Amino acid sequence: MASNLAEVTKAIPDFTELVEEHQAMVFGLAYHFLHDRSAAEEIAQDVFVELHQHLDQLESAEHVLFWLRRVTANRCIDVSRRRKRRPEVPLEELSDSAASIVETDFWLNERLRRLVASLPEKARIIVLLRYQEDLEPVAISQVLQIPLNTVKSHLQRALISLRHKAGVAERKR
Amino acid sequence: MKLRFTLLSAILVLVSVTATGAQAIKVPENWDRLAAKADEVVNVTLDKKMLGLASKFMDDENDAAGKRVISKLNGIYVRSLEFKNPGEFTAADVEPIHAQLQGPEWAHIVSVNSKTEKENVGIYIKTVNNQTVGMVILAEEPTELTFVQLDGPVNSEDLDELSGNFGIPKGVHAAPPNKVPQSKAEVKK
Amino acid sequence: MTDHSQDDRLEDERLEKALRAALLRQNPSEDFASRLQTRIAQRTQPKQTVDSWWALPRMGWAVVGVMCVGIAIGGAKYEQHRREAEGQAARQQVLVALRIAGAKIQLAQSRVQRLSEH
Repeated sequence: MASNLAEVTKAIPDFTELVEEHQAMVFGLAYHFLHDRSAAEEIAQDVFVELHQHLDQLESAEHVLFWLRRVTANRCIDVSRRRKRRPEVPLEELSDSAASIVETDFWLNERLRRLVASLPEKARIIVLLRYQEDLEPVAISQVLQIPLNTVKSHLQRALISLRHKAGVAERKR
Repeated sequence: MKLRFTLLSAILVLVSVTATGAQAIKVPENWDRLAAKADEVVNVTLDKKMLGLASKFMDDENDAAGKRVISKLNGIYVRSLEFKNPGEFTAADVEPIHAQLQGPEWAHIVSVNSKTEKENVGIYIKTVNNQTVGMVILAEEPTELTFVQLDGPVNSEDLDELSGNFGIPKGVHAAPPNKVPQSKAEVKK
Repeated sequence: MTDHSQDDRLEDERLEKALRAALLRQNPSEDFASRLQTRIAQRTQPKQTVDSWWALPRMGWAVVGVMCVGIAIGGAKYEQHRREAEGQAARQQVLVALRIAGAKIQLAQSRVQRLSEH
């Protein structure tokens, strides 16, 4: 047992380093999911508090990363469901008023973020794990504990929807 | 038809946008150096608690509009520097603020640049979840540099309320009759 | 995505590139880590126990009680004055801030209006 503990402490940086290393990932997922900075900070804080409680159960730095992604994803979905005072805006209803702003990369990024934040929850988290975290569908299915085909299906439909709404094909970057 | 005006006034209206009232946009530290050169310095930092306190003392009928505006705010932050001579600050002094306003939540809704007047004014709105949660006004004038941040759900009616109120009559900045402007400006709405 | 045409694939690639750019990791507020540490420290802090240091003789406690009331009354009045002064100062600051904000908004509006008339 003692030797296992020694291996764990060697493999996993201390908690402060973990926070520094992963806060942008955790906060980024939460922020892009909810498009709400303060709610995202709260989720990120909760996730790291939970990490602190469970750190001794994690086996390696990779395990920590996997654990953080999973817990953050679950937490985001839970919070989103609790906040269902404002239902997800169907993509068709998203206001185009901001489109009158000069079309720059900045605006396209903002539009994409809003579109992503309005996707159905499962699709949303899959898109975020794919494009923020650069995870392959196999890894996403492991993080979210859903079948691989489900991940691929959600991803494909989300991209079609986003492509249609963002009109990326008509923009030159 | 949308007219594009580019005004480079650096009015820094700092609108704090977080629920905790923390100032979202930071004024660069070198502004302290600029303040040392300024003739007049206005530095206002009011969080939600202080705004609530102020509101209790705004019973005068002239205060009614202001009271309405601040009732929904979490904070007001103002840094205004007025210099004796032009040229006391440069674009580099303002750039750190512009950089912070490039974040995903910020939309640059008004940008007015006037070469004639040597002014730039920008108004930025911060939105989260399709809700406006703050506003920044950044104005650069020949002898004045102003930053204002309003933290809270400011809307266009509030802008109207603010404009031409609180002792500033409407039209004070209007050009005198028969003056032909020579500057191009961009406005983004 | 097996039935995608080449155009569809190109569009997807463009979209994916745009998504990666839009969905970059984001830093939380600067004090995130310190707030987190505070929160964790509070969770692990042992509960404080109160020692029974307050076992003074009864008369001693009566004297203490009277003193406290006296201090409280004087303190309350002082506090009231202090709050009023603070409130008035805050009101002045609000009015100054709103005046400045209003002036600059009006500046922007006037420039826009002038230019739109020509």
